[in-house]
Amino acid sequence: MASQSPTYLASKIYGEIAYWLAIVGVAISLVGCIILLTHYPENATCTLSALIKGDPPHEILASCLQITSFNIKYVIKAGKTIGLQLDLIGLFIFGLAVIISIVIASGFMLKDRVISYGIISIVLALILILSMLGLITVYL
Amino acid sequence: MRDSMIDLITISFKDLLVTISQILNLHNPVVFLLSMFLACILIGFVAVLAGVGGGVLFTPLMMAFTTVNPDIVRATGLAIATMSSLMSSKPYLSRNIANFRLALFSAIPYTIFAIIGSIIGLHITAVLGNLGKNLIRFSLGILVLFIALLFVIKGKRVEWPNAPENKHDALANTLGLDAQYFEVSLNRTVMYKVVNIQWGMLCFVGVGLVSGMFGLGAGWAIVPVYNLVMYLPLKVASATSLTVIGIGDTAAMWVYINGGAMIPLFVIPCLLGVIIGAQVGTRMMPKLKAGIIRWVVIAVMIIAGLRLIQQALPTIMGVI
Repeated sequence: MASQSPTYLASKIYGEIAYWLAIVGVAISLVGCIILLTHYPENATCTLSALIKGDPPHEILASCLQITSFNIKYVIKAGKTIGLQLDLIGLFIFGLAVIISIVIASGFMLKDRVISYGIISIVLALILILSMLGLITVYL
Repeated sequence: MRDSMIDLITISFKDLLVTISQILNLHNPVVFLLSMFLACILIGFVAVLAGVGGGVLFTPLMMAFTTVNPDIVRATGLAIATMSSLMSSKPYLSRNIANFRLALFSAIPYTIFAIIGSIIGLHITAVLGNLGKNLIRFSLGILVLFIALLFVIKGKRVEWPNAPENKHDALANTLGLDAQYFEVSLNRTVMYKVVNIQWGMLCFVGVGLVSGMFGLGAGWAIVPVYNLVMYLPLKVASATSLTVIGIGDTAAMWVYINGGAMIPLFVIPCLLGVIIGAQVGTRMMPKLKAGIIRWVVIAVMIIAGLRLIQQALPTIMGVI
């Protein structure tokens, strides 16, 4: 067998965590979608009809889901439907999967004294976090 | 004469789409949702057999043949590319085939420019409105035709490329990017060196930009860069590209999420469809002739590319 590089453990951990978090996120969102379709059919029908019409995303959010922002904190605080809350929590976890995995992988690399790649991972995680926090975005 | 021919083709194509949508009752939301789900199963299935990512088929097809807003399609395309790459990269990372160090290093330019690409893409549609949407459609059409051409000449890829003897990359040495992995088919350890880092990183700038702007996965571009420019074995190139796409497209995806373009009721069925299709495709791969399917995919991409250009040209020509 090939000798394992010092970053092998970090890469394995990255792959496992990212994979499972993404699956958990999509599963939660799926539950949210099912709740939205079964318990709030008017919201779901409105969303799908607007999608078919080709409406822009901000119009769909405002007219069918009654939200002005796609911010998870806002949606939960505003007491929106449980289906929508689960949808967004799931998407949030899915989007967070790689960020959490990289942060943990960087911890392992720094612990194993692979300093250069530990720093590269932290830089990547920072870029991803900036993007996630909406500091890099365009409002439609 | 030429204009009337184009009009005839356009009208016939529109009639065909209207007829299909009437037969399938696509204006019924539930039927639409189910149709998207089934279409995505097919996309995932065919994509795996043809050796391409789901995102690269999803975005052009949805933009060319549905009325869904291009921002939503691109956001969903990025989610599909991210999910597919996270699912596919896990076994390669645990078997030490993906070069994780190289993936992290390559992910920096790719991620930064995927974010910039997604911002540019959203700006174009937000500021230019209908013209912006058609500019995106037109550029995507050209890009899809180019990708189809790349698939036609795929044979140029080298399974075990050898970097020139006198070629040494000081940066790769400093960063310890040269690596090795156990190749089961050869029953031995394969060692390889990484060269042309600077050219590779420059390519990632462009690839990231395109991926973010059009909501495509970028395996079609990253694999040739690793394989032909940086001399990585083909299997390592494919495995490493999946890791890079997972990181970079996540960042671009957040721009679309925060911009409100990710509609869960559309994203989740499409994601599930592509994943299920890819799983079925992987299981059926040994029983099917992948070569024929590859040509079908190339044909579909050419049709989608031409359709995108045909949709966009009237608006662009009208403005120009």
